[in-house]
Amino acid sequence: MVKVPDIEFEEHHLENGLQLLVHHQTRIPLTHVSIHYRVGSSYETPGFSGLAHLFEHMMFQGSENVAKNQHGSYIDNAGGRWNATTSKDRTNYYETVPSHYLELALWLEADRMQSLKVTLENFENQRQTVIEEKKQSYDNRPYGLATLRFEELAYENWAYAHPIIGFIEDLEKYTLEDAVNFHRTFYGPGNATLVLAGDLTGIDALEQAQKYFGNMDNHTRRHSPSLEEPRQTSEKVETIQDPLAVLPAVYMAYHMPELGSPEYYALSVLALVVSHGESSRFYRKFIYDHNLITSLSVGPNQNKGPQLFYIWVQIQKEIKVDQVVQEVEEELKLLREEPVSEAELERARNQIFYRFVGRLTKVSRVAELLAHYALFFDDTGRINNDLDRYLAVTPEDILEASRNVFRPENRTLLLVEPRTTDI
Amino acid sequence: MKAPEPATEKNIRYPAIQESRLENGLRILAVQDDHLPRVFLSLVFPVGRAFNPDDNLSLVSLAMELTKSGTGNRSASEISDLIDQLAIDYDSDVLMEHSFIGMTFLEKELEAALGLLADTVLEPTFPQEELEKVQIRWKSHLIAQRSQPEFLANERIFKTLYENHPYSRISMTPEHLEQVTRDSVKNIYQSRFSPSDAYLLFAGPVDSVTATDLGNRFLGEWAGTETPVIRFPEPPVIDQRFICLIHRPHSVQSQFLVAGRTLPQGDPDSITLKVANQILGGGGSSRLFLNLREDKGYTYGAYSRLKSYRNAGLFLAGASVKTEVTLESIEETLKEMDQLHEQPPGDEELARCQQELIGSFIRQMETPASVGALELDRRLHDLPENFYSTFIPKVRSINKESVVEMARRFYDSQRLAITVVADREKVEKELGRLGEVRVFDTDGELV
Repeated sequence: MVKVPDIEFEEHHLENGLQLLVHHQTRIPLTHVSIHYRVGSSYETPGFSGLAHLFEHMMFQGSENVAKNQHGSYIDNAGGRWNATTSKDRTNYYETVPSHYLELALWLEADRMQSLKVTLENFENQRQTVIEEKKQSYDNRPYGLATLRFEELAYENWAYAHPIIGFIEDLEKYTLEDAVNFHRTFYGPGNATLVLAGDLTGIDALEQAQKYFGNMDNHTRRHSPSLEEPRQTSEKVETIQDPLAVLPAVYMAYHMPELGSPEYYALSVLALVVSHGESSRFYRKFIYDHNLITSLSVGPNQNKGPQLFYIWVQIQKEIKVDQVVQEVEEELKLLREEPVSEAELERARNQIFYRFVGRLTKVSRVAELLAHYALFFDDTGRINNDLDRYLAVTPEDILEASRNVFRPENRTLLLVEPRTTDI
Repeated sequence: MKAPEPATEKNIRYPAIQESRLENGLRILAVQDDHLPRVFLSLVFPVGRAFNPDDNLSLVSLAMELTKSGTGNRSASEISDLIDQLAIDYDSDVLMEHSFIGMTFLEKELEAALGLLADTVLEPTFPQEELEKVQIRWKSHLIAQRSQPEFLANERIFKTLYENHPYSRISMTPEHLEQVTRDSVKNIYQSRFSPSDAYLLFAGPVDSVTATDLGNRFLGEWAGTETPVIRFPEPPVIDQRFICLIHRPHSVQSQFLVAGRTLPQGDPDSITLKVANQILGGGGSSRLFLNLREDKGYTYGAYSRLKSYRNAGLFLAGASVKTEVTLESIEETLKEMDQLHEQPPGDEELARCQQELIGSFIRQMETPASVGALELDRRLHDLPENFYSTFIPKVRSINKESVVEMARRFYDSQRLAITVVADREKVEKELGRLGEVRVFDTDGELV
């Protein structure tokens, strides 16, 4: 049995509520600084879609001591890399810098946590940028609009149903004041987790965090949006035409419990059995043996709260969509009736071991994982015992989870029809 | 309040890479790193898509793909069973002038993975039924890629800048796939893929002696053949501005690319050109990004990048922009190129771009796999042995004048190709202000 190395870390809490996680290693003089705020699109309210993500853009538009775009140029000058991401459940900002620039990254993050200095002109500029981001990522891409529509169709609770990128009509109406309020509500030390991972030789991480963040008042409080999803009692089906697609596709999903639930582990292992690698059940049957589909993507959608077990397939040109839907259902029926084999499970376990060993390849990866466990489980230490939960999954656990989740009335189906001959 | 000063910089040394050569010519490279019980193995051949015969661009790719579709010892299913059982992260690809098989796995599977690799490259049988399965699978991917604006823009750029030269070959066609025979695939594999000019990289907890021993044990028997030396002709001279519009109905943005020819690989000026590229569009602080996104809000992002091949390289700059500002976006891009002829970078701008390249280089040293990839890249691009050990001081020594000289030589707004993927009705007329516009459909046919 391979020993998966533990990820060593320290955890501290500043008086103002800032959570600090520290991982030290000296392999290479790089440090990854990542700050996670407990706000994502699920914290938005109807009429305010896309604000969490639009706001993420604002954090690069200026703060008390840093001008528009200067955040990026400071880090670029140091030879670092920087970016930010918004998900349904959190927003994060990060920099990977040569270690001797650690204080620069802390100073920059602290400055924009405590002060936002965005002009009307810059706000407008980023509104336009985000509208173009939506077009580039969804509207101008095959299946882009279907991807956005699907979660709206599957989830009843607006928190997860609406798109992270937001609706254009909402994006168009925001004012600078909305951004200022958003910052005041969610961006403060009590709502944030700061992670430092890398070569911290000779550095007292807690002292550094105190120096840059310790003097901030905690004006924020943690919010907990209701993510509760009612039990689905009848199947939902919709068809949309996509003029940009050339092959049909099917989005299929089943509601399942939240991250960290027994079903989450069972169905994560199941996803490996049915879709990881060319020997997996779905690849072997639908692609290798029968060439019914061209590609597939299967598994839990990784939200913090109630998840969807996704099955996405792109279908071969001459194959009927109904046939593929039917055949997928037959495979799921089999999973409801018979446990997966020990051999399949062993293969999945080997793949899980491989993935867990790979978590330590880069300091950025370690940092983001620490934040993941801290934010989503309120238990950073789980990073070192989560493997056991995957390995404990039995064929019976998978059978039970399959029976609970892959119920016909629990299914949401979105069929995408490609363009016809209008060109 | 001022930003804090940096602490003392720590030195970073490019790691030593051990090389040995087997009797059959196979070069073994070892990047030893004991940090994790995980190994990256890569077998690289100097055979790429440009090496396909003129009438069929699918052969090299099929040869690579079919190595794992049946051998004297295992069927295709048995091979994929084993890959997944051993939890091997398997990847193979064919690029312009080389191709590779990459495997990452846990250290304990090293011998099993090598055994599998040896089986697939020494004894592939290219079964007819496996060829037919791949033909069907790939045909759909070829159809689907024509719905992606980035692919369409890229394909047209290469066809325009390289005309009929082998470097114009971005993708095979469904017809190539249909016409291929098992014998032609087998033939290209046997005549071109050989240990004599290949590299096998070990990156991870494997020392060079072990790597050589393992190489000998598993691949020492691989005879291979004498591979022909292929010299490509010089690509045609680009002496005008080409404007191509690809009509993609229902587009809600315009995807544009501006591209011109640059230096061949290994040219001593290539580092200076990299700095020029950083200034133009190398990231979130570059001139293109600040202009098109941060100033005008035309796009989510505008970037430029470089590609280099044995006989000629190219730069590509572009963005996905609001349809109504397609022309303005391209004009701004050309203007940024022209401005670099006259307006040298400021001290801070130059220093930033140098530091971006150095930082990116340092980050690539974080994993043995990426160090190994750099080393393979150096060899495949004929870069000098000390290229990486002297990279940082070389980047720091670049001055403003040499950057301007690069811009004058290569960022020539009159000698380049411009491609736009958009709804024709909305942009064709205004694009005419840039010059004569040739219109293509999404199948690549001139309309």
